Amino acid sequence: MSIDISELRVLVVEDSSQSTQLIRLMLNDFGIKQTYFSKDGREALDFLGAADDMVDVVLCDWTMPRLTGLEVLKQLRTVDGEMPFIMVTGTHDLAAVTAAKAAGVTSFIAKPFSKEVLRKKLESVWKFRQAKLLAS
Amino acid sequence: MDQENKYFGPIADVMQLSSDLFIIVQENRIFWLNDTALRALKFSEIGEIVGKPISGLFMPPYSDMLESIIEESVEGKTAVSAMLRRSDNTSVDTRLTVTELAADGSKRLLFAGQDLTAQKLAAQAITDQATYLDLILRNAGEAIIIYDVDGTMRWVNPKAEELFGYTGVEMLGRNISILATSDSTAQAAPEAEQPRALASGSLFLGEVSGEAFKGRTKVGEDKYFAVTVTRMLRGTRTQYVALLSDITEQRIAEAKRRQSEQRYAAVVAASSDWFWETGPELTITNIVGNAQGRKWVRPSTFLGPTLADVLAKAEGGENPRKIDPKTILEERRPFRDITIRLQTASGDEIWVRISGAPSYDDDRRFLGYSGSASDITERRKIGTRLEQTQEQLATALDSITEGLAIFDNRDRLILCNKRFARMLGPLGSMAVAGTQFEKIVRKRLAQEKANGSPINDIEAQVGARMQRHNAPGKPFEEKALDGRWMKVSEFRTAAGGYVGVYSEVTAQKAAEASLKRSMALLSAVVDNSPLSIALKDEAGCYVLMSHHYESAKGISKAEALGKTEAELFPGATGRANYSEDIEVINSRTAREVESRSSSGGKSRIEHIIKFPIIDAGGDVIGIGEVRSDVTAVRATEDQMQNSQRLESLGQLAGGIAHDFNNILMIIGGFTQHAIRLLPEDSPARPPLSEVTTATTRAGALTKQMLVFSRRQVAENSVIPVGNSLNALSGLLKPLLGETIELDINSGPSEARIFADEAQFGQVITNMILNARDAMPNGGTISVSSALITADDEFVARHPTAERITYVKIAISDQGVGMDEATLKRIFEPFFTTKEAGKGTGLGLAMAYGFVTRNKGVIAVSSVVDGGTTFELYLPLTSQSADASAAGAVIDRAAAAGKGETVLLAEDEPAVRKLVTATLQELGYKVLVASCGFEALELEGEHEGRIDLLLSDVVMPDLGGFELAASIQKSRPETKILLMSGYPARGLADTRGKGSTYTVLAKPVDFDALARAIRRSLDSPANPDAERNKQASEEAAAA
Repeated sequence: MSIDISELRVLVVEDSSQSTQLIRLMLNDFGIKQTYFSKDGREALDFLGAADDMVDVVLCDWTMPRLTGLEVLKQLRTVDGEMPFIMVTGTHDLAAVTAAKAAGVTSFIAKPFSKEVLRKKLESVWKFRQAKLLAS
Repeated sequence: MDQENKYFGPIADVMQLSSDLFIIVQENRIFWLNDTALRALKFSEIGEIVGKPISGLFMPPYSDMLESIIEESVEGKTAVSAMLRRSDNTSVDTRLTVTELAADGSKRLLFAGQDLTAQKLAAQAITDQATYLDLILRNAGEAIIIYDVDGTMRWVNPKAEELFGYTGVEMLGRNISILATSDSTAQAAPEAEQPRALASGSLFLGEVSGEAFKGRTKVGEDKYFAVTVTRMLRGTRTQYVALLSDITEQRIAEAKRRQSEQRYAAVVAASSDWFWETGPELTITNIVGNAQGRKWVRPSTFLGPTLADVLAKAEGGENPRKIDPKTILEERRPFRDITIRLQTASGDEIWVRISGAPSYDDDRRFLGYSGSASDITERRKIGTRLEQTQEQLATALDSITEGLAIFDNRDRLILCNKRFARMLGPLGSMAVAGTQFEKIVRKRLAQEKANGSPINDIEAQVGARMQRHNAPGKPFEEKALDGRWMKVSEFRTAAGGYVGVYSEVTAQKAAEASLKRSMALLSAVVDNSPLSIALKDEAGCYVLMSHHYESAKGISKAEALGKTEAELFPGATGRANYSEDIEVINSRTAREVESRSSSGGKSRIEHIIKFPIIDAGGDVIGIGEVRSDVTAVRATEDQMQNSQRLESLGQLAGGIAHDFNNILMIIGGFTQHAIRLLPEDSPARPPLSEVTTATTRAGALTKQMLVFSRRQVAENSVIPVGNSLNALSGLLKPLLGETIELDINSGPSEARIFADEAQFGQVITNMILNARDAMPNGGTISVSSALITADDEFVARHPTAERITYVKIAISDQGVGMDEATLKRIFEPFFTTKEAGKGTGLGLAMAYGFVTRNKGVIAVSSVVDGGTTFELYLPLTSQSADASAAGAVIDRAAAAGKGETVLLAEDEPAVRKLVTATLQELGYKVLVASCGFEALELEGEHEGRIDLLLSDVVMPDLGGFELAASIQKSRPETKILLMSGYPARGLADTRGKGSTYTVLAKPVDFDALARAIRRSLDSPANPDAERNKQASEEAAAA
């Protein structure tokens, strides 16, 4: 029942190199080859602005030094309302979740997360993407 | 005539030589007349007139005054004017003197006079003289022989034939010596001088005058002649003319002469000419003459000088031989018509023409010359004037642009202008006087042929042309040798001549040809035009029309061309059309009207444009008219407008219904939920039940709106129309009341349609109830069904119809009917004629939507106070009725859940909450997702089985169909049930997927939802084929 998600292209926005390391390992395990990593929200937005058709989903940390994950989401949504955006957060703050939902977040992953949880999220994204392709 | 000539002898000769008329009358009958008179009176033979009463020769009133004329003239010796009658009953003006020839006691009168007409026609005289001469020569008393220098005879007169006993043929071409004896010289007139010419050894060579000559006739009889030979130059050729007279005859004549000396004097006195004599020394000794009219000329003018002096004054012009007068006189030759100019005592100049001949006595002694002279001053003046006139005429003729040629009565060219000569092109040299008309024609045709014209038979063409020429009629056109086209007008002149006028029409011809071509082209274009086109001239008369125009107006070209509409159609319409035409011309502006007419029960709309046709100069030269039949176009436009209006209304209604359904669902759902939560005996239950009822009614209303807008989910099945109508009648009869009778004619059993049965029932019910409402006083409602195959006419009347077989359902009432305005809006939603609160205005709108959605046609006809008939045409289906389609009632218990897991995806929070509560209440486990992604997440995370996906069709991130497809991939066992407040769109979105799902229309009431979920869950894994097919067709229809 496992879905092949190796074709998925993922942009990871994460300031912590440890977390980045961990996620990279997990994505490798899923067979995902096309991964992009950014430590900075601004840099990520620039990348998306230039190459948003190279990415199927954005995994973004909630707390980052310059631009927060929410700000990245908000800015992204001004130009791209459909890009799946998964917020990786360590807190289960209702206000934060509400704000993110209002800003158009696609889904959340609570830290710490297991490899399986991430896989489920990405499988959902893959299916969503396929369904969208079908719809178009 | 010869007899008379003989009788009168030389007097007759003189009279013949004179240009005056001489008529001798005996016993009041014409006895003799000279040739001048004969000609003037237009007789060809003297026999025609001799013996006739003299009175017949005079025109009235002169014929009646004859006696007084004679009396006056004889007594007074004065000339009287008289008009003589010609043989052709025309008249000739003369001045006559009458003399009594009393010498021999016979009652003979000599009428002598001048033909005044002849004098006036100087030009004609030239021809006359030739005729005259010819006549004289032929009828002369002397033998006249014309021969060449070698003696070959070329011409002889009848007298010569008579005297010598040869026929003309025997003489011509032979030498004149055959007429001479071998001893001609010796025996000829021994008493006279030796003829020099004969002495030289050749007969008659050289001029002689009055020489004696012994000749021999054919039978060998010797005869003595007096001979005069004159040399004649014909061009370069010399010929001789010999006059021979029998001397015996002459003697008799001399005797006669003596006898009638008195007569001679009388003749002389009566003539307008003078007669003169000289002595042997040539001094003029005697002049007699009629002094009438020229008293200023005293004969003494001529007395005294010698004849030589007089002849010295000769003008060269009329003495063509240019022989010195002195020589003539010395040689004793006769002379003729020598013109001399004289000065009168009063100093005036006069011209006199003088002729004379030597005279001898019986012993051939020269007595002197005698002769005549006539005053030709007037004639000369006329001639000069004529010349001047002719010159002016020629100049004038040359300056006109038309070619002009005048031919005489023998078709010889007299006169032509330069233009005519130019027309002859290379044959221009023929344009000289004397050329025969026929010759010109022949040469011209030959030249044309040489130039390559297709002429086969020149003579035939000449003949045709001459025929035309001889009987000139209308002007005709002819191509001249210089390539120009000429209009030829020919006229006969009074004198029998002919005048031809040639005007150039080349440009006109070219213009005509080009006009012809453009007219032909225009005509062809107009004729073949698919439009009704007509052209009229500036007076409104038809000039041109197309075939279509003819049939549109019901007229034919033959009768219409050249007429106005008012003339063609005597009624008011014709007059109106005609004044419209005139208005277009006067106002110079186009007119565009649409005219409605009806004939044979069919109304017709024609679009008519009339426009002024304005030429380059800005003048209106006519009207163009284009008509087109726009009946069908207008009908289609009306229908299109109507459908468009209904379409937009449908969209509006559909849009409202969508949101309204969501609201209703929330209200109804929560109310039901609340009722269920309340204890059975709660006083809140009844009011809440009312809310539920109202919600249901509102739901029904929006459902109708959706049917009208064709957005309703249809559950199509095969409907046997007859059965269905019968079933409905059972249900409806109680509603109709006692005064209304319902007459159902269920029609053929094969009348089946494929549609939503509930909607069909609703439509028929609505219409029957409408019929009831239209008959407040009761009546019969007839409902019938029948099969109808659409023909051309049906398709024309209903543009959306196809050529298939329809089931026709007609519902008629006998009610109040509707007017035109009402009929137009009858299918609009919310349009109602009923009192407020009695109708929703959606009944017929729904019927319209239902029929349209099912590819049918709805028609209505109504007469105010005469009832209304609605006709529904729905496509006949070949499928047989599906018994299982009849919905089985599922009770609530059966509809309950059995602990299955339902994944609910619904973005509308209120609906989500309601449905969640309902599902939970029914006993289902519910996974609730607020969007497509969340549903996918839940599906992905859910470890257990998901039995049913219940999803809204429209969600912001992902549609229900996509979600369903995605989930069925990973969980093929999961059943799918979709909901939509906008079901049509949802259905359309199944494209390309191959799967079909059941879609519930919102608002979904509790029971319906329960049943639908139950049915889905209980259905086999693969949806049955029939349902699949139905759904696809639904999708296609939407």
